Amino acid sequence: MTTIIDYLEKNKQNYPKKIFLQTESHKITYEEMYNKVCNFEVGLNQFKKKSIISIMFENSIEFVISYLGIIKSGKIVHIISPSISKKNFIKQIESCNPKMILSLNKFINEFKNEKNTINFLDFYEFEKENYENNKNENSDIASLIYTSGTTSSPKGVQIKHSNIEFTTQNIIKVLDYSNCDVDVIPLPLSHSFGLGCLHTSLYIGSTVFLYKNSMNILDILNSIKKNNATTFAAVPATLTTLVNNFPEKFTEKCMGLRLIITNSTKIPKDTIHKILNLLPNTKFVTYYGLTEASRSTFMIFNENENKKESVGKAAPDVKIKIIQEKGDSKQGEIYIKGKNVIENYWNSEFSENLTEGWLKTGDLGFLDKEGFLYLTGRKDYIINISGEKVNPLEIEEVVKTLENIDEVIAIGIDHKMFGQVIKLLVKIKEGKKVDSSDILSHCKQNLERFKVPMEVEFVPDFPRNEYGKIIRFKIKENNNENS
Amino acid sequence: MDVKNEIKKIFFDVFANLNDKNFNFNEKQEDYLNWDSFAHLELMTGTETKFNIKISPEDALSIRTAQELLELVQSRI
Repeated sequence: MTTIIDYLEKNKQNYPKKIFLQTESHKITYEEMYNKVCNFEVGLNQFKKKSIISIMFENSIEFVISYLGIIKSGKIVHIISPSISKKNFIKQIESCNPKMILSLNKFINEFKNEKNTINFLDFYEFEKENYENNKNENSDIASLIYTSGTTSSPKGVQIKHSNIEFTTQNIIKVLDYSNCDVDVIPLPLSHSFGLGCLHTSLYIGSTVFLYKNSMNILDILNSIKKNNATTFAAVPATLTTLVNNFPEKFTEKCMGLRLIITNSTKIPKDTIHKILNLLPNTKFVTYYGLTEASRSTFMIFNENENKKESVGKAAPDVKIKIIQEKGDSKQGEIYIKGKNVIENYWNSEFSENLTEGWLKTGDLGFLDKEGFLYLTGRKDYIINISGEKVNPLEIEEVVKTLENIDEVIAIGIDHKMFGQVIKLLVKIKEGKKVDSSDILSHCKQNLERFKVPMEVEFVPDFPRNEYGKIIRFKIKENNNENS
Repeated sequence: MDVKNEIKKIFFDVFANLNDKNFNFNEKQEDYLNWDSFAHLELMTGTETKFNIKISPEDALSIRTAQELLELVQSRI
């Protein structure tokens, strides 16, 4: 079984002194990283095969050492975003029951009271301990990442080493990565987009400039030029901000890039057009994928200028089919099959989503005659906010715990920066009063930031069917007409 | 208007975990647990509405502390 650690080791042998990773505060060579990962592994060998070790870090050197150390020890790394809500934190921990959670004291202080039985450990305290080395068998599962499910419970996506290897080789093949690349990544590593970029650099032996996020985008632009970066991965919101507000700076700093890659959250056509015009020699690429089926398609805009609304063709050795429902000849549900697709969810839940290797994505779309995939919406009511999938039920459950709320519906509305954001429609109990600021403040305390509604509208009632059930799609239609 | 207090209130509105005890005008964006692009947008639009000013994208991107936002507002009103 090949794992990303084999590639780290190979790079350590081939280019020991080459910088592998640079963050705002650290710089580390392949050799140094390999040695740190080996040291880190020893402390984890006390646990049995298939034990889960959770990590909760922002993008940082600590994230990368822990992630690789856990994989090297043959255990399963459960990745938790530090921006997780306390409620979802508990749900994930209860679902996967980790042996310990590695983090930093600033996050531990925020979360430790929620679950006292959990073995929360500070990264640096763990690193300095001496452990006995009892190496045991490796798990074929590398990592566990939770995503929104169609119920309000999150789905544990278990990713095998073979999934990572297949996907990464496809990325390298389609996008021509080489060890000469210098990759700028301001994407969360707790998300499949950012993690896939890190795997790519590790496989090919390039250098990564890792940023916590894209908040300081002008500094990141300067770093692209200063460090002669060749690739830049960013979400559509970041690219849209850049081309709309700083086109000259964007052109000047990015003209040396050979590749810009973004994910398939709605990219405004205008942003695609501007990037292609400002940087005609830079490949501009998007892809379609899910945590369960990473990088299932690739779209190189420069080579397909008349298909800007497509997310591209299936990746090598990945199959895509559309299953239409009766009466809908134009679009259907997207199914994916390939070695990038997971075999099971954690605890074998949600098995209905996987049949004979085909993943039912819940996304709606169609293929044109040349095999280009177009996304048209969702089969369920999942909302995509800047690449993060959000189940409206989760938001509604939180709001319903407030007093005087009769019924509430959360929907996705279009947003020029984030693709979609949440709008809340609230029906208050008769004769009662609720302030929108109280609802928002309650949401901020109980939900991840990106799930907090941007708009709240109070309504007298909702459209209903003959049985009195709220018709969600009607509400969504009405709001899209108005937006 | 007490600008300093109003800026503090905007931060308290955006970050539910902040209060008078743990709020520091000079704490940097990267030291917050959850100052991301969603929070940033809310801070900027909240400030624009409160003080009836327009914050340019360049100015918005340069704000890394509550103190910097306070100084920006003071220079505009």
